[in-house]
Amino acid sequence: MSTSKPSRFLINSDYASLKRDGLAVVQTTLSGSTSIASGSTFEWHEDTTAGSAGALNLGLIQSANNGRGFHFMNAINFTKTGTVSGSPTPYSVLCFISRPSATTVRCNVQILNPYGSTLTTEASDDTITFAAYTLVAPYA
Amino acid sequence: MPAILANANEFALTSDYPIEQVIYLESGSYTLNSLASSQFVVIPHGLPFTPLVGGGWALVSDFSVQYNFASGTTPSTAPSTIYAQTMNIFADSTNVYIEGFNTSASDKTIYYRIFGLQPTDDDSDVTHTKSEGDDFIFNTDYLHLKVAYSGYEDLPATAGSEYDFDITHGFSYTPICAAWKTATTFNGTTNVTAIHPIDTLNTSGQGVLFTAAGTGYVELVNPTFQSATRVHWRIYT
Repeated sequence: MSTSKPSRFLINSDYASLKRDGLAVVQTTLSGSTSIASGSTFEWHEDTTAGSAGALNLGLIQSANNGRGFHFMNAINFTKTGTVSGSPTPYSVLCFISRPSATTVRCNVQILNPYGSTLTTEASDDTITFAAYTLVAPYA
Repeated sequence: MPAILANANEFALTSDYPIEQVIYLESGSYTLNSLASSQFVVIPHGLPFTPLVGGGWALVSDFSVQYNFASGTTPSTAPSTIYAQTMNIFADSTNVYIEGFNTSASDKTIYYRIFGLQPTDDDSDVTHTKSEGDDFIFNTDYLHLKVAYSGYEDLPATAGSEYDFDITHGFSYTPICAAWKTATTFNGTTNVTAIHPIDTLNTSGQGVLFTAAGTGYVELVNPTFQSATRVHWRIYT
């Protein structure tokens, strides 16, 4: 069986490659001061179509109010400060990209209120941007 | 440094950048037990180095719906976990490891497809993954990932501190990035120091976050750095 050093070739037809075949971009604004009842979950999602059946996602997620830029991940989880019964209280914002069907990319935001009283999220709005490159890698 | 082609990401091939070459391919299936937590599959890879692994998995043999490693199926009810089933992937100098989690009370058949890349700190000869004359591997209908920059960074052993590492890329757009880190995981009764895709550890908060600002640089950030480790990275266009 033949071998070679991949790093010495610009292109080498003896090795498979990674192929990009689509891009999905979705953006949403989470309103500030949203009330979430005790034990409930705020849930938002939007579906879009990208890529061929069976494609992989290379996900990017950005929160305008948190972090330095796009996080190269299919899920991020960050902490914000809201109020419960008038007191400053931390809560988690979960943003993730999922694939519910062959060519559907779903962008999700979930905020769980684990406390015994209503949680009010922080006052400022937050813009969440999702992007997903789809990748035919390297089997098709 | 290669010349900056403003829209290099829109070309199938540009001679300024090498095409990413996949040096390891593996596929198979196994049974993920009901309510499994950290169930491992161990696959010897036979390579002279630890590959930078990626790929996906599926619940159907035709992979019509495929999930990235570190991603998974959406729960049908209110989320106590992000995914109902999810798989992580690691590799060390000998094996590739798939780690499965299952919140369902029934067993699941998992189909997996793995690919591996050669790290930049190794220059070994590698067995070809494609050798059949009728097996086309370059198709101009697709935008092949071209390696604009690649390398590795050894992070200092400063527990609890944040370590930032910026890589200037010069593109006007946010390029596709990937990174892998060395970390210790747990495989049954054996501690394994393995290389993980950065995405694998995202929800634990212990991974290096890999961010791209779209303003000319990419940033590696480790907010909960615990021990010296090597991070391998690629920037694609």
